[in-house]
Amino acid sequence: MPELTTKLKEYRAKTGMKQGELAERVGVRRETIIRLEKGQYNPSLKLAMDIAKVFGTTVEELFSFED
Amino acid sequence: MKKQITNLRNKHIMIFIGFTALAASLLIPSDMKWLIYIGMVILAFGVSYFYGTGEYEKPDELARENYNRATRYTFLIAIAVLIVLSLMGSGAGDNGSVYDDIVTIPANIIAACAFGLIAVRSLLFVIIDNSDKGEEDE
Repeated sequence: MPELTTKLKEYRAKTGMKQGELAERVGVRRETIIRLEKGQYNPSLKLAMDIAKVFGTTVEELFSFED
Repeated sequence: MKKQITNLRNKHIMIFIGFTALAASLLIPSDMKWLIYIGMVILAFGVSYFYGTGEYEKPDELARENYNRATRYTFLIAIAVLIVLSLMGSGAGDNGSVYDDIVTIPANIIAACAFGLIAVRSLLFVIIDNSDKGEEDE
């Protein structure tokens, strides 16, 4: 089964944004951001797009699936 | 001043404690019925705290997904409980009477099961939703 990989942590570190801050901006809990960064949770398309928008990038750049 | 927002998991821990107290109070002997009222008061305080006075986290998509999973598992437990309750009654009718199939299960047992299931659902939510705190950067 393909595994979700994400550059979310990388992008967040680049911008110096905290998990709670990002969570607040996209309207989710911090737990959701933690799970996303660990690749343990598949976000909805809306959430993925909202996060990509915050970092000014694309969903494909931020999230990918590896076999 | 920023308003204190109650964590969603804490809310469910409170629901678990309240409903467990209520379910337990329904199973105690009748000469200790005052414990039922204590259970009711705990539940009333818990509910009014979270729904009346306090502000709590809104469930996001992960929370909703976890809550659905907890509900699914609770439903399976509910089926198991129903099987046990039906087994409790299955041995009752062997006197040849037309009332053999009628089994009386006390209302307090049924109510305790219902409240217990609500408590179990909240407990399962807390377990499923539990993230590794060590990974947080704040």
